[in-house]
Amino acid sequence: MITNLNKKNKKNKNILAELDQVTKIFTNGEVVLKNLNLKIFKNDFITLLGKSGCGKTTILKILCGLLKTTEGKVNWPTSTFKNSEKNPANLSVVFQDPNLLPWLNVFDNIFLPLKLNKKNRKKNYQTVMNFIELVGLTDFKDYFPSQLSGGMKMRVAIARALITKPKVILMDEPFGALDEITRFKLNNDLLNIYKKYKLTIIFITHSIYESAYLSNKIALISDRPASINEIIYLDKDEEKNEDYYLSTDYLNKCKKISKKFNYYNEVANEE
Amino acid sequence: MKNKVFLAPSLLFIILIFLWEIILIINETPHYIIPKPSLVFITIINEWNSLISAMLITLSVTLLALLMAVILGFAIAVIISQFKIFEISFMPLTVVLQVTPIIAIAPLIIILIDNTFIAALICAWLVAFFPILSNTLVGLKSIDHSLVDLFFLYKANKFQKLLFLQIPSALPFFLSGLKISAGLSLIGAIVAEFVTGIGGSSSGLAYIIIESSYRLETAKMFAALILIALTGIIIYVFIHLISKITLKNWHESEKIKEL
Repeated sequence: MITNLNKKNKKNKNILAELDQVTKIFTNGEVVLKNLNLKIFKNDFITLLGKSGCGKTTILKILCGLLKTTEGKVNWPTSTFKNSEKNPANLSVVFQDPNLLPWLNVFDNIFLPLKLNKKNRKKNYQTVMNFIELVGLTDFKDYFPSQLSGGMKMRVAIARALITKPKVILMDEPFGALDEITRFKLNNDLLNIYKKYKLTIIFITHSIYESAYLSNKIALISDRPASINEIIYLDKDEEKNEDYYLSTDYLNKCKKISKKFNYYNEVANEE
Repeated sequence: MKNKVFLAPSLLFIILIFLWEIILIINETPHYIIPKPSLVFITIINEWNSLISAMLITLSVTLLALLMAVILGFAIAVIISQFKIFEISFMPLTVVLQVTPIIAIAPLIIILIDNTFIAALICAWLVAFFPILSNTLVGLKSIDHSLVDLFFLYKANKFQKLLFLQIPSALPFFLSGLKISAGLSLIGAIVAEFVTGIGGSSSGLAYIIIESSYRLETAKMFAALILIALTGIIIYVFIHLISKITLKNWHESEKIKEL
């Protein structure tokens, strides 16, 4: 019994965030989430996979504090984070749109979180430059958002999310609007960043292929009201590159996920 | 392409002036009814000193009033945007001021204020103030919601949100208000000069028009009219230049189109 408890404690230590029986009802009476439970562990790359409009974004907004729950709790254990009221954890969010300030150039857009934290621009010049280099935009540091392509804007948004050195990044279909080639490249860049900074990433997508490529856990989300149907565990240590992207292994994985996804849909429809 | 932009309107302008001159010569219209363009031109040269000093007075009233409208309009818009109660209390009052024609208020202002320069200044300010206030206020309130979320996530305080998000977002709105106000402040200044109708050292271009009309110096009226138009054009170009420089990098309205 005691060992069990210890084991449980040890496991709990690695929990970064927990949604406990979360229900969200909008003011128009629509039930978006119902009794949703989700645990996020340290160093997870977890994908929330679901159809458009099923409530994925609502889950993310509740996690980062932009929306309040109607019932249930969001726990960010103090053991892993400094707790504060507004921003429950040291986390960054990358939205569906890059959300850059159009009147600031690439450098100042990436510097923004530090500026809001009252950091000195000169002293942090090198830090910002390092992150610009990380996302491969060194030559574009003086460009304005309107002069950049969609993929470049997303890179700026990612660099801005990383500059505060967060432990968790929430991403809401960040590459949804990009072409496949750019998307593949950014997927690989993201995986490298994930490994380099030992991040925990919560990633929203409606693409089975993207989720299978990126994550080590996939949470299948049901239609509205959203809840978790199943969590699929994937192999963590596979080398992700172009060969893997074209391998039958990867295809089979996608097939498996797709089958499960369709199964839950059919069950829901029958009900 | 670029040549056409300048050439076509210039050519039209020259043709119109030429027609004007020819028609008057053929009809033998007396110069006190409609002067020939050539006579207006000669009058501008002959009366240059009195005209230019009058123009400077009108210009200084206009620009000072515009400056006051910018400072007060912007400041009040910022304050109102932060506190809902101010918006509810102030807006009806500003609307009353806006919808009452300045020509109707001007005589009252002139009775109340002895100094004609200050009276003219207040008239011009009253009409220039509202477009800046209301446009800036709309700009301050129409911020992209996802950017507000972003600032919330980075724990920005109210002042940071105002300074780094609301004011830059409002800039294009403010500038379009400024373009309207610049034209209106000239109208306000001219109206005030008409109503005061006082000559002497502080008389502007409008007074020259009144004075010349009494003396049937129609050519001088036209000369003053041309300088008023010129004043308006100078202000318009100046404001557009400011708008172009501040917005060229990021706002759709001033972006340079690649062909």
